[in-house]
This record gives sequence, C-alpha cells and structure tokens, in this order.
Amino acid sequence: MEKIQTTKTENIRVLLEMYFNGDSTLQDEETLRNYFSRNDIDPEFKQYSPLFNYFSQEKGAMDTHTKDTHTKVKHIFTKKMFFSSFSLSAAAALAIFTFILWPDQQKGVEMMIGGERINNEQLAISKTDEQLKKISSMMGIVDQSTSSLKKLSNVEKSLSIISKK
Amino acid sequence: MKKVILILLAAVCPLLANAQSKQISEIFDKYEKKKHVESIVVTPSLLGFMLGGEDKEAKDLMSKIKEIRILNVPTNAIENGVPLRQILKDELDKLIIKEQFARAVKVNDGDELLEVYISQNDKGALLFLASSTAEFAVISIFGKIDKEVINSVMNGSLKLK
Repeated sequence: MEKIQTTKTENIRVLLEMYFNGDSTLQDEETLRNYFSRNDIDPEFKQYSPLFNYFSQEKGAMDTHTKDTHTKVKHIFTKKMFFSSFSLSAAAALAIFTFILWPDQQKGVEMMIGGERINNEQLAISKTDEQLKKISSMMGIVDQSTSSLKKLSNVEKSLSIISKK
Repeated sequence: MKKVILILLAAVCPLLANAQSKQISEIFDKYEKKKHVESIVVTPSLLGFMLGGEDKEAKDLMSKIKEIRILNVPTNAIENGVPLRQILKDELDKLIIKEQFARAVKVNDGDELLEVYISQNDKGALLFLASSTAEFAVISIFGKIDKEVINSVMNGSLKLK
C-alpha cells in the first residue's frame, strides 16, 4: 500500500516538474487537477494545492458561464429567429398581395392570343362587346319568336270568342 | 354530433356551389394557352368602371357579376388532327351533363348556333356556347346568376362600351 502511495507521489512529482517546465500535456494537467481536488494530498505538494484548485474552480466557473451564455445566446437567437421569420412571412405576404394579387384586381381586362398576353385593353373590350352583341342579337330571334307566339295566342283567343258566339 | 354535422355542411356547401364555376374556369385556363385560341377575362374592376355610375340597375348588376370570360377557338385550330373546337365542345358537353347545367335556350340561325346553359345553383355561371362556321366561342359569366343578369345579356344592356 505504501509502495503504491510512493509510486503515486513520485508520479505527481514528475507531472509537476513537467508542468512547471511546460512539458505537460492536457491529460497530465487533468490528472494534477484531480489529485489536488482530493483531501489526501501529500504534505510535500500542499503548497501547490491553491494553484490547481484555483484552476479547477476557474474551469468550473468558465464552464458554467459558457453554458449560461450559450443558453442566453440561444434564447436571444430563437427570439430573433422568431421575429425575423415572422417579419419575413409578413413581408412575403405583402409582396404576394402587392405584386401578384393586387395588379390583377386593378387590371380591368386581360387578353391572350395563342397563350401570349396582349396588352391592348381597347381591343379586348371591343372583342368582348362584339361577343355580347352577337349573343343579344341571337337572343333577339328568341324574343321575336315568343312575341309571334303571343300574337298567335291573342288571335286564338279572339277566334275562340267568335266561335263561342 | 348534430352541431359538428351542421358545421361541416356549412363548410362544404359553398365549395359545392363554386365547383361548377371552378370547373369551367379550369377549362378556360387549359384552352387559353393553346395555339390560335383567343381568350379574354373581364375582371370586376373594369365591369365596375364600365357599368358603374349613378345608374342603380347597373350597380345592382355589377354587384352580381364577378367575372366574364371569353374563349374563341377558330375553326382552323387543329390538335392531333382533330379540330380544337370539337375537343373543347366535347369537354364542355361532358361537364354540362356531369354538373347538370340546365339548358335555357337553343337558337339556330342559319350557320350560327347559340346554346345557353345555367348552373343549378345561383352562385355559379351562365354559359353561352356560340358556334359558327368560322369559330366556336364560349362566353361565361360568373357570379350570382339571376333573372336580372340573364335579362341584361339577352336584351343587350350588358356591354362594356
């Protein structure tokens, strides 16, 4: 047991020497920090205890700070993301309304020939009227026919009165 | 449960009412891109401008008509060896039967033939199929189709100029 202890003390001494010479690795420093965080430190090394405990505390505080900052940043980022995505959606909706839907409402007449848009409102209006006139003139024939039928029924009525007499 | 059914019916009914005019619009959208085909869409803003003013009758008419669409297919427009006017007429005939449009009038005057169809619901379409040797024209008036709208077309009071 004492041999193991001696080996450990020797090991720590070597690591400390390496540390002060600037030859220690990150893993060596971690071993030292773990060693000095314990209660059973060799009295020979007690003087170095505040140094490594300080580093350990600092590291812990740094980790917590980083974690907090990260959470804070993440929170702000999420908030910003929400607002930016909201404003982006609003802007997109406005753009769609302004450039796609609104001009259609404003444009009175649209004309296409063979799939190509023709920007000639007067031509479109006159062609529409031409078609509407054609319909009403055809419907005039129906009107004439129905009025003829009415006249015929009137004649029939008169004839029926005569025949009754 | 009854409430749920009523809410669902209330939500579905307008969709059914608009189905007929939507299907006509889809046919217009499909054929207006084809070669030689002439298409005109008259939007409510122009109708308001042209028919508006102080005339109460015109204002009433305006509030009912949502859109006028015209499709003009010349006889020389051919697709896959078949006259395009024939393809369009067949498609419209199928729709008229499927959606149970009522035929209001059929007028034959020499080479010209006019058929008028009205959708079953009042928020639908008034469909005119005008056929002559030179072309086949489809005129559709979308909106609340009532006696006033039909009369305005019949007596020629619906005009843009």
